[in-house]
Amino acid sequence: MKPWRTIRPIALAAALLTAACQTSLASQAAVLQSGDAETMAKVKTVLAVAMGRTDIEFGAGDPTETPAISVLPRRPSSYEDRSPATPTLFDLTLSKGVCYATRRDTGEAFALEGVACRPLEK
Amino acid sequence: MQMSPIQKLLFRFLALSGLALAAACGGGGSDSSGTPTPPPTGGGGGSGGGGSSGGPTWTSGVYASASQFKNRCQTVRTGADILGDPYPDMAGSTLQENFWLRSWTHETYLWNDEVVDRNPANYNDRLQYFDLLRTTALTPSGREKDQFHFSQPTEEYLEQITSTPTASYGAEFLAFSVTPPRDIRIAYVDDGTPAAEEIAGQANFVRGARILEIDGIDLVNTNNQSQINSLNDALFPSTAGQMHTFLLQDPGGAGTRTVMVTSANLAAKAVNHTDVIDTGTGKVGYVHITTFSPYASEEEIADAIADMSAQGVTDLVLDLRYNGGGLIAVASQLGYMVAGAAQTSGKVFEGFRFNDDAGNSNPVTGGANNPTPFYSTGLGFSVADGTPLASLNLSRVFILSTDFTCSASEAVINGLRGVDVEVVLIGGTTCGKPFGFYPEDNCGETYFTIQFEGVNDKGFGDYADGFTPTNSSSSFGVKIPGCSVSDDFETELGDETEGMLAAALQYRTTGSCPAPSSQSLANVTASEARRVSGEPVGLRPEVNVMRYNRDMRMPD
Repeated sequence: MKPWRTIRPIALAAALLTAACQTSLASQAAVLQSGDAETMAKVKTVLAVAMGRTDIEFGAGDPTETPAISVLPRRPSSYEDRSPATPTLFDLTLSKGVCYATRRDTGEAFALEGVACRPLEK
Repeated sequence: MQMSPIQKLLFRFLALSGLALAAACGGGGSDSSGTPTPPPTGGGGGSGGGGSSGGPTWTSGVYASASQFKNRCQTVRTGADILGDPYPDMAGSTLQENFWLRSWTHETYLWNDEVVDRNPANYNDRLQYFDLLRTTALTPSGREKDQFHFSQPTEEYLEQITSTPTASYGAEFLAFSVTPPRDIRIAYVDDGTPAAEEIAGQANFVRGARILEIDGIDLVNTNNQSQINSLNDALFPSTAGQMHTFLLQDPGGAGTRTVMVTSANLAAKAVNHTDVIDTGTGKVGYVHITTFSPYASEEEIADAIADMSAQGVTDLVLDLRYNGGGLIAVASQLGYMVAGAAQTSGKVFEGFRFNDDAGNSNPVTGGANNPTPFYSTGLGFSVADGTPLASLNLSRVFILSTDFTCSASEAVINGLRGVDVEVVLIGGTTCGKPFGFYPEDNCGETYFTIQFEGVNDKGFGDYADGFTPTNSSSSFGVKIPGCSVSDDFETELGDETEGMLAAALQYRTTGSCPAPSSQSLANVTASEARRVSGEPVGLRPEVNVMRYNRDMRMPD
């Protein structure tokens, strides 16, 4: 079983409380220092909370190279032949040494606790 | 009333997903017209009340918020679903579930003002009540305006959206007849799959081949239920590694051959075939796109068009004949890649028309009603967000169609026409589904009700009878330039002599359509040809007719 499937509501709520949701940050674009499994598991835990889901799946993109992470929508069933679903995008930013994932459609920022970022090289 | 393939698929699905056949078909002499059934009871044999005293009461035309009744369930699920999400159910009643359906329909159903307001207390079956929460209006052709109203158990729904890849052979089957004498044929195969594996230079399955027997069972004629079950199990293997023996009759050949094919876990592929045809008057790209559903479709289609762009393609044939739709966003990207920035910048690929009460909001999400633009970059499905897409910058595109060309596929036609790209339609009338929905779970059932109509940049979305080529004999459907051409099962897709592709190439050169006699049906018997020609609709082949329910049973 994948680690993020074990999260339960209480844990989700706790994570949500500690995710330091903010909507306005003085920040700079950033990328993850590492895309290893441990890092991505931490990111997944936070973004699952952001999505209000237990189970999320990352879409295309390399967040160690580009300052965004794609979270796939629920897969359409075979009957959803006109699905408006699109990935949810989170922009990575760095503010006061803390890495944030800012949900592009709502502007909510979620602190990626324990995840190292570096400023995007221009 | 004739049923389209989609209708028939849904019909059988409904029948198998818990709705009594009698309710759907009027069997057994019972009244299927919505006659009220005894009111819900608390289960103890006493008088009504829907399982709880003091339940909601019905006032005609007055609707409480659906949220008031959401997740108030007669049967409460406990624990978590297969995705790990906890069930949101609370103790309630069938009455409350019915009230939720009524209010949810009123809030989100596209034609909410055409739904008869019935007292939820008069129905003790939520599915029977849901079945009535739809319009009964007809399209100009006489088809039901809403052919897409159904539900399925949520556990099944969740299994569907999580169970990929699935076991298969890598072939798509078409059913010309699911009753004896059955006629099941191969529509196409995907490269690199067991279906395409070659033995002594001969692919296991080829387009147009008819399946006569599987594992020695007569597929064409058997009426034995046990054998029918075995046939279904073989056609739709539940696991990888299942080997079955098929007796096939190839197109154009009187003889038969036997192949042994082993199932494998295969992810759905969107792009089945591409080619660039050098005509002497320019390069014509051909791409057979079977679906817009898998996330991988974003990358597959982007790669195919990028390759054509690199090869200097100046015309494009989009083969959408078996494409039932999928993700609007991916269809939109295809629209951009055909037309390019100059024709699409700032334009709407598809806007969403909700019910009249919704105003500028999306009544399902509660957010703004934002249209889908022509996306010019990757969106993060399988192409990284922001990655520029190639474009062919065409002012004209040829689209190959049948009545399996549906929904998001039709959105490609409509979206491009909305920005004045000339769409030349070669083939048959499309399915006529400009509508969409957001599946919604309540109390263990996932409901699908039409919530929006897709409209193009000109605000047009009225094609419930499909798009049809101008020379079609059909009196209905939106006529657009092109040629009515039968599907050609004697030739592989992408072959320049295949009926529809040949017609597109001819139209490109001469501006004229092929004479009907030139359409290749030489090896199809008269009765089969009638079926292939598309009339009547009820005899037309169905894409993967048994994919979902595997129903080859004789009618009761």
